[in-house]
Amino acid sequence: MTRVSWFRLILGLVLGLILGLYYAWFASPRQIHQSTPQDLSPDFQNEYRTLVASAFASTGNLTIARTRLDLLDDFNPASVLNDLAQSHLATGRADEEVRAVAQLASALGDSLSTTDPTLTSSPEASSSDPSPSPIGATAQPTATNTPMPAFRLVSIEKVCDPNLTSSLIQVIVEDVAGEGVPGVGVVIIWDQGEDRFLTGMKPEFGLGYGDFTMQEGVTYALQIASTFESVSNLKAQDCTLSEGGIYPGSVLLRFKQQ
Amino acid sequence: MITRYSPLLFGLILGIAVGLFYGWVIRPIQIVESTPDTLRDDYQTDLILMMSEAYETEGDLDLALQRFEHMDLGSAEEILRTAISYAQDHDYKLIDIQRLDALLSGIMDNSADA
Repeated sequence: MTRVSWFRLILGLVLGLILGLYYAWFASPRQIHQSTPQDLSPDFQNEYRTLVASAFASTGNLTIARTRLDLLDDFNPASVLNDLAQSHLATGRADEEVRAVAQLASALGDSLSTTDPTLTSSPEASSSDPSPSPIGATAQPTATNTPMPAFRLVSIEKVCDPNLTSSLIQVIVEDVAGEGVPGVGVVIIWDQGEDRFLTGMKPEFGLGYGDFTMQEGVTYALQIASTFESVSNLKAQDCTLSEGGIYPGSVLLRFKQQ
Repeated sequence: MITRYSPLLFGLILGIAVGLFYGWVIRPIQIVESTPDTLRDDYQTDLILMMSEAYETEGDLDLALQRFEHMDLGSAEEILRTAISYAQDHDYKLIDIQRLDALLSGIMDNSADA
């Protein structure tokens, strides 16, 4: 072959290679089914978390829920789920899903101190193997997706705790047995706004606990979401220090399942 | 003319073939933020199983179908059949296969009613 022929061959190769790679990578990339949940876009990851929570609400199996969540490699799954529950609440997602996410967040937060969160089996293994790993207590109560029961206000107390850095509306929601109920939506309304929170987001204070920071001089109304139970005229209460002086206190409302 | 440009044409065809092989087989493009339909089969089956587990207790078909929409997975019936087939081939627990079946039946009954 002449030099010109070699030049044409190499030129053709280079051009062909560029064309081939362009087509394979950009024009028509091969759809490979090799993604993991961690590769999903943030929105789909949130949908995945919601599904994990809904499945957990149905089966009550915390071990499998944890295994599934581990695939996302969240640094603090309970915290991520807390945020997700609040986001779902704000965007009006189905009550069942909001509650399920909050319940899973509570269950994870509650079990952090007693379990080893390291588990890396695939979901296939967790589904087909009834005992994938001896982590965690699987004796979580089976969460239910029955409609949210009605809660009735049983007490309002003024709380004077100088250790609190701000005035809070503190809410405790309990079932008939006196156990805290996580995932109950609470709506706070005031002149210029509205906010919502869920019970169980601070499991260190109990599964049925939730709070909201009040601004001084503002009057609030509170309603338990999905029920008609509401309380109005809530505001920071004056508390007196032992050495004299006044500071704004908090209000504690206790609701009980009817 | 043909002889003159034969090396160029040969090189072009060879280059395209090598480029396609490299781009599709050896080093396919990595999608950073992927969608659920690109999940590995076992993960995708587990995703569908989660929907079935939730449906088992909730019994809310509308919510179940919404989940398929949120996951952008296409035909619920088709994806459920694929998941059941995968679960059967990979020795999933009977109860899991029954859950998948129950959701498929619910969706098919709903389609028949409509």
